[in-house]
Amino acid sequence: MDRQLKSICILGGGTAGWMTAAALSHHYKNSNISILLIESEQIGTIGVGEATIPHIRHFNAMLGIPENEFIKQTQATYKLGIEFQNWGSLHHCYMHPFGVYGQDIGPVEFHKAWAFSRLNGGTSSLFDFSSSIAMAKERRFAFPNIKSNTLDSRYSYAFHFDASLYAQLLRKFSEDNGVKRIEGKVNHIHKNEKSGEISSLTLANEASVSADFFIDCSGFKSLLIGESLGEKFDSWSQWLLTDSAIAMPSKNEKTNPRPYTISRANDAGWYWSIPLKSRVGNGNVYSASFTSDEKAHDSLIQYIEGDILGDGRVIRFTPGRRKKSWVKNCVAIGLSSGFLEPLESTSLYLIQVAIMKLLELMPVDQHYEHLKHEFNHAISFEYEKIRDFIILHYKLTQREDTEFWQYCKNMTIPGSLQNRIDLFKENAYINDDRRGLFLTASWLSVMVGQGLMPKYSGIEAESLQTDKLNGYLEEMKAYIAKEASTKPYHIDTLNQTVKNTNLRDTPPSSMSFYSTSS
Amino acid sequence: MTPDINMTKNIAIIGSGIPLFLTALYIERTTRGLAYNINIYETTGASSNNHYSAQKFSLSPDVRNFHKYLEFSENDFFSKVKPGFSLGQTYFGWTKKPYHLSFSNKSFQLLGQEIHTVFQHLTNNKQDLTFDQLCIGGHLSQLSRFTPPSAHKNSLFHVINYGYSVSEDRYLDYLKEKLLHINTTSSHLTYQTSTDDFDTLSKDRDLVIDVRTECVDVQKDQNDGQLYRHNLCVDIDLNMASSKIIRSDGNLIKLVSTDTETGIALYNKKATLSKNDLHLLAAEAPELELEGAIFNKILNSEQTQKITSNETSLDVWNDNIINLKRLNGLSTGLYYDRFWLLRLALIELKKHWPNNARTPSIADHYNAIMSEYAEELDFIDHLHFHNNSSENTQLKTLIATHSRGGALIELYQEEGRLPQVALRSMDGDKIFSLLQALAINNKKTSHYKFNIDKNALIKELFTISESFKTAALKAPTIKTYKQQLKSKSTEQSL
Repeated sequence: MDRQLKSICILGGGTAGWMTAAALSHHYKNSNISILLIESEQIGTIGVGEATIPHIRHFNAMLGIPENEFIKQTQATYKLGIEFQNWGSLHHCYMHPFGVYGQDIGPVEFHKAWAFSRLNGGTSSLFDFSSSIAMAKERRFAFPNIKSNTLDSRYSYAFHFDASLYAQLLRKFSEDNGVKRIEGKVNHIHKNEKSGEISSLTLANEASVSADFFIDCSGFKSLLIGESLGEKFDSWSQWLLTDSAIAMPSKNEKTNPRPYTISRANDAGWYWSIPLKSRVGNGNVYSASFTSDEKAHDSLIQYIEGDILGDGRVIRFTPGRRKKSWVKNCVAIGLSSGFLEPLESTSLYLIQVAIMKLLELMPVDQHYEHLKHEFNHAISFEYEKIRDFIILHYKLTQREDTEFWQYCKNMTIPGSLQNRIDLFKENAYINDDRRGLFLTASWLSVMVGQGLMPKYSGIEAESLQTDKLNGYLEEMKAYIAKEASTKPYHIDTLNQTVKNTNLRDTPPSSMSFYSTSS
Repeated sequence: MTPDINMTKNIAIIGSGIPLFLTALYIERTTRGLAYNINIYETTGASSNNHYSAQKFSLSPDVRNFHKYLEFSENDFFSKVKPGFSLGQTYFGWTKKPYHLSFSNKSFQLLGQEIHTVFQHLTNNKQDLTFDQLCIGGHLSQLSRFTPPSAHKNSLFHVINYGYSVSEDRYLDYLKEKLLHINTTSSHLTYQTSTDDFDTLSKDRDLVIDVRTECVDVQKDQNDGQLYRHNLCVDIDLNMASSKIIRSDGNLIKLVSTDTETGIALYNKKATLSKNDLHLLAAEAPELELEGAIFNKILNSEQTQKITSNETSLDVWNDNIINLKRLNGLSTGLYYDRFWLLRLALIELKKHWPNNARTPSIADHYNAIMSEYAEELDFIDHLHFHNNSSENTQLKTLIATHSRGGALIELYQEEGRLPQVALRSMDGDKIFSLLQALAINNKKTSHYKFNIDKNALIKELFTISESFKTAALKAPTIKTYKQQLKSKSTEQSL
């Protein structure tokens, strides 16, 4: 059948559904392709992704949503990174910032020069060489200076925001661009007997919705790709033990909110704390095999500062992903495709990267085998790289104070991750693959932050003179600290941005030190 | 750093010809000022440089960064090696029409899309517009003009990329002179010629780098189970802005810059080289005829499959021996030059440099990366050999034997798409250039804009192409540029 693709149906209207609808409707604005989205107000959304990474700016820019508008409508604050407390060991913390560390010294990569200094008696902390961290610690925020090649140009930023407000913003955007929204629950999924493709959906009110192509944004239920098409789920719970989460917002009582997320490790998982403008998103991600829901709930209440707004409900999940995210004429985006705990704020990124890849590979008719293969190849790579990065946090712990951490410290990890750790340990080599999320600075942050030091700093660093190098590092460190102390407070930049109407000073979204693979 | 007893301090580099000197210079530069002991042994015999005396070849653009790292000044290089500039390569006899592949980037956007996506949309409706005409480098090549890349990001000339074409003997002499100069001023390096066997020379070293080039003896190579290819390179000085690669009678002939009468005569005959022409060339360089025949034989031999189907077993690094010899000759020079893989191997070696060469994790990772590069190179080289027949067996074999490359070809052929991040060594738009040039068509268009008027789009693309041409005409001719460079060089030396 050579029928041209004319209609797309998105099932599910959470963040994944409306991000997909917004991107497709923008892309196919002047085409004859119809897009409809089915959602039910009776079904709640998980509302993933209160914390983001810098790629979200690229997504908004692609849609033409101005940054000030986005901040105003989603109660957003700026984010410069994530602070990890108690991960490497108890009472120890480090930050994974958005940006790179220091500046290369001639042909020597900065982190190798720094490692050389440390291996020769130097005392500087790697984390003193990040402008993001320096600003974050003082609750300051300024845009990177993109006009120069100086140290204050070498960082990026993202947002903390209200994901449900973002979905509302995108819903309006999509509907303005012609997306038809249908209220209803799916009762039955019909498949073409011969091809096995999904042909139509029958809703609870008995209305029938047919389309050429379906996008499954039905969340954990995975109604289309999982239940109907039977794609198997690949569980990664042998490496990622957490399987439950409780979210509980509180009132933000700080006049100047923190421009960074906190992740504090606890006995059987970790707490998050995400400061939005008027509230703080809090939660406990834990393993139900190592603690009870009650204990997790109570310890979260102990952890939260400020007035708690509402009760938390327990969400269960299995870390992992569908073996394939594109099966027959259906692509899964968001939780229906897979779930990785929000430790590195990657949920929205995984939605975004699937959308971008789909836009690149959207079929024109019903012969799409090669497109499907390429899509699944790309999405597998993204999931597995992020999976390895998250496992790294658990594996590199020195903690043995609970059974949970003993297991994590001693578990066997995927070969791909073991290889990265071995290479770094041997000669400070970091393989960033040239694609996918997380480049050198990210791997470095977690490895060094959790106590892994290389035995050797590589050949190029050997030519550096220790005294001269240490003096230079001291100067660089002082410069970064001084520069950061002159930047405006976070709340001032935030207020200024909201007032600003032309946003000339906002750096382009491509200004990201994370790779954009799509 | 706390040195341990296994620290890589005593290094032997054993080999001959250009691979030896490139390796020796790179390792010397990398270890300069450090307490390393480097012994370089130039082996004599089959690999002596006399064998190459008539060959000329092109160097891919990445060589400029490599030279920069070695601290070669371009003026000095220019005055001693007398290279030609190569903005790309023109291929004759490979498809119905000759085609040109520019080294310059084409990345600009039109209608919010990458230009190769827009171009793809036109499928077979492009009239006489070629993808290379949407590139400033393509116009410069066609007009035999040259200008180096502009530092200004908004300039049309900013995207220019170029390599060189060089005479093998002059390049070899240049590299050797550089090394000998270092040898006289440096105490951590010794250089000597030697006929001793490999085991004697490499004994008790922390690290041994083997770049012997005996691979020119094909019989011997077949015995050691490795594949080496050879191309026939001659040299024509017609102030060409790109190399010319001619396929004739199953032989590959690469024309770069020369001043031989035969070369000029051959150039004028374009793609109609016959066996007689090969005899003429052979008269100037007796080895060439043999090598041309060997190239053909090897390309079609079963051994070509061996490399392509054995993705992770290149095993360049084993224990404390890095066998770069295995990389020599893997490239036909059809797209990347013959030493491209060697340069990459050295750059990767610096990144992977071990505290102890016998660290398996480092060696395994290095081998995996080099295998990936080698497979990509093999894929890109073999792509040129597809034919447009209905069976198209070469292309089918290529798709079957190269997992990633094959998937990309199928994706392009069947769906008209190529992702921008495609291979480790080549982005989607470069692969697109190659596929366009090779007239491998896509069946479908990407439908990024449904309401686009194709005629208006073609008109727009022609306008862009014309503006590139107008800009290219402002650049000096190759001849004038060379003269300018020469006078600048003379002024500086005065």
